[in-house]
Amino acid sequence: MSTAFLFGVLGFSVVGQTNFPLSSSWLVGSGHGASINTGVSGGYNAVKLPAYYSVSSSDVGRMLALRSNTYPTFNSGLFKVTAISSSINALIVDYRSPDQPPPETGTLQWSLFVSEATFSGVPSYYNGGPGTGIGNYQSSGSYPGQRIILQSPHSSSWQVRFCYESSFDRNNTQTSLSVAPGFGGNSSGDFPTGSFDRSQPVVAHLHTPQWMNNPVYNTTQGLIATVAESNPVNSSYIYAPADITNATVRFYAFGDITTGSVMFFFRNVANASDSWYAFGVSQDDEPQPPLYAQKLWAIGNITTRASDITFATGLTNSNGGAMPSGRYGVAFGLNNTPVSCVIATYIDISNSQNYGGLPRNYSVAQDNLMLNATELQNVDLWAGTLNGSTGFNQAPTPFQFDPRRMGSMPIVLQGRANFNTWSLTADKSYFHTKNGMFLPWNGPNVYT
Amino acid sequence: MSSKFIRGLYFNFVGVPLATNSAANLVTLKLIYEFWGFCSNGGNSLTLPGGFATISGSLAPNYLSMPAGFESGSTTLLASGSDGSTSLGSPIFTAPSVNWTSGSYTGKFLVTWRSGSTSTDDSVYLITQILNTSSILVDPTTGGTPYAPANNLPSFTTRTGINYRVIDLVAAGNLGWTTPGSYMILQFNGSYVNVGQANSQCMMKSYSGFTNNGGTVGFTLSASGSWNGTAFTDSTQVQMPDCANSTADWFYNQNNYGDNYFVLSSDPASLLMLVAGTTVNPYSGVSSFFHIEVPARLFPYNVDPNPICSTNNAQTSFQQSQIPSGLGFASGMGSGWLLHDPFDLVNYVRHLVLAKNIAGESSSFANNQHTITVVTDYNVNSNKQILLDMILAHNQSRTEFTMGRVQLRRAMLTAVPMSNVKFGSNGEWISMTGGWLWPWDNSTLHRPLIPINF
Repeated sequence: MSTAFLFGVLGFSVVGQTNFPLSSSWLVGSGHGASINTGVSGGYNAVKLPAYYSVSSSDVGRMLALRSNTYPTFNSGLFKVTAISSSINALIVDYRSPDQPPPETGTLQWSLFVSEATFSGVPSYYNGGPGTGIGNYQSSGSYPGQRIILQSPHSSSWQVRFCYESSFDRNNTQTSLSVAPGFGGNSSGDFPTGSFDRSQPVVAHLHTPQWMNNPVYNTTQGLIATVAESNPVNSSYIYAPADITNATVRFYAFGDITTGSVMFFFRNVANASDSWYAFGVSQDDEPQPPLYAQKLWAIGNITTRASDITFATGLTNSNGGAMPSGRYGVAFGLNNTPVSCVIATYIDISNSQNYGGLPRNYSVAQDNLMLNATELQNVDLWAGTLNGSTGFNQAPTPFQFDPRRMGSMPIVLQGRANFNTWSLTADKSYFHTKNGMFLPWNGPNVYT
Repeated sequence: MSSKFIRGLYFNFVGVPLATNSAANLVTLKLIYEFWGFCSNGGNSLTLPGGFATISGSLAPNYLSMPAGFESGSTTLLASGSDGSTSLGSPIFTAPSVNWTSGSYTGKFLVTWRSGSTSTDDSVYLITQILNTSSILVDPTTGGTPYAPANNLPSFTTRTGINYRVIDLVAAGNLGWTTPGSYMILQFNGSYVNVGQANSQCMMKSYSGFTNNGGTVGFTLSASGSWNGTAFTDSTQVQMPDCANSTADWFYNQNNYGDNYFVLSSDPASLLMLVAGTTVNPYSGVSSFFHIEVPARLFPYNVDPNPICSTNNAQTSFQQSQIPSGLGFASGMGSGWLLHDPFDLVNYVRHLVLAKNIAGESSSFANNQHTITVVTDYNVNSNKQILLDMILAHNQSRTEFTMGRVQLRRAMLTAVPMSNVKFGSNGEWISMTGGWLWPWDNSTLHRPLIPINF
């Protein structure tokens, strides 16, 4: 669904793929000129398609991606097809709001994908090699596992790779599905191998094992049990609930059609195992880095699938203990290698451990009386401030210290944690997920 | 940034015949009066200060209420004039209108300024020697301007027409004050920082807490600057909630302690002060500080027109340990900032300081031991040490959420370094303690601002 959103809504294009036919066999149809809520029969949630595509009963259950340049926060997104109307050649979609969409006639870009079930049945990432050598990263080249590289609509043409890692790499990296922005993807959906040899051309991407051609870097560095629980070498790895067999989630995506930055949220209907991941480019950099790749970042979940939705990206404790939940980030350093990336939120400088005592986490906090609204603040992205994801007594990792403020993190803002979950602010400007993570909305009302 | 400084002015209370326990307070307030009223805000008058409460542009009635002679009495103001001159790099101060050999000026202090000047030569200096009838030798390093040929050691620049006052701090200390009652009302140029801001005011007033030690000093902030000659009249005035008890002790009982270095820093909308002791036991030495500033407004003007904030610290005397060795504690730099809340001027006036954690937020709120104080702290992008902005947030649980109402202008945060280290592209910050940085002008220190690193 993430790739469908990127392709169908944000305007990403396919660079290359292996067994990930997003723009071919998984794309049932696409084009311009669709309409919604035009007042004809079929109801407000009827999406009328141009005549060159004839709807059929086979479309029911498929995913429809709409892109609206007129009402992007109302009519852009992924919609599940619940029925069809052959008489008006329309797909009836689940609009997921008590409101009606603003009418549009012939202005929508549309992409109809195979069903969610088809997507979720696709992964076969437990396949092993063939590897490219003992100890080398194996999920590339002739490896048949699913992967794809998409290119953003941004003028820099930065790319992002999704890969269901091989069992060898998965066992070593504790990662099933990885996501890594970068440059230089090929037709197989792989990024090139990097090098610490400074005489070589810069290879700019955030998939550390592929960059180093080594998924077991940590093991060889002598790390112990904590490796299995938190892996600092990887790019950002997704352990979204959607990745769990039989898990049912609500999917939320917030993207920027200009830069391509995007955040995905997975809300488990069983009220457990919520998760999120995101990637994109930093904003408000000071100063601008030499390479555009050095603005790229990705933050994903760590090994456990029980991650909650929080800003947590930092270390858990000082003695190398486990990181039971949270996530980890990767950026591209000024040293032209992958480095760590964290979200910098505000802490109490007199007691940095006093998160519970922060205004953001007061259980009784309400809207700000002076602003007559809930107060929101931006968060920063910092690269290269950590060389591991656990404690200081861990063995060194391939990450080098390369600390810098990248800039503000796009899209998300921090606010009070006790705001109603999965709900809108009074003016509908922002949507609160959980634990103080607010996203821009300015769209229709939502079901809770 | 139009800053002025007193860079570690040395004053030894040991052996100085201070008559009362309150004397140390008066010495301190006298130094504040001279630095703020003349060095920082002085006009052409040799006796009327600037930077104090005004009404319609003129000094307000009762802009201070201090012991008789405190301002310009014959025992505290020994000489004054407007014919001072200095030469680049020279420690000699010349003023022919005073016969310097006719009085006992050695060991007294020279206050210098020019109206409207932004020169850091405007400061307070120890007179070390009488050279002749028209010239004296002073220690220029407590003020002065960074002098490149001398590796930025503070030195005089070439100036003429310098206003000056020769003051006797010991005499001022022995005047005796009234507790509670003695006060000064400092005024800050709000629009220097925030568009449309009033000239906010701060009353420094004696209180009778700790009467055995001659009382203490507390602050009252008037955001809109409403002193009418008798009282503050605005609804936004806020008083340090603990100014009459032990937690507000501020500059008392220096009598029993020894050497002190006075550090002051100002711009048109701020005043910072540190008194750092050097007694035999470095950790029971005497130290104290305060910080008042008009911060950068983050909320819209119509809801927060006149922000002003302050903090202070000294709990049991001039304890050096009371300057946070970490990043602050209950009533200190980290969490004891006074800032009015229009919805509650009594219970929720304290604010704490927030900065962004470059190590990332822990997944466990209770178990994040990695802070900005321990991670690597060099910004490879700017090729500089990482400096972090700080904002003020509510320090109390309450039914409101206020996280980033104002941003401090006159302090920055970095990983904990040694004290007395310059930071920034041009040495525009200097480390005090606990990673806390104060404004600086790239001067080389010839003495530490904080004598003992801790």
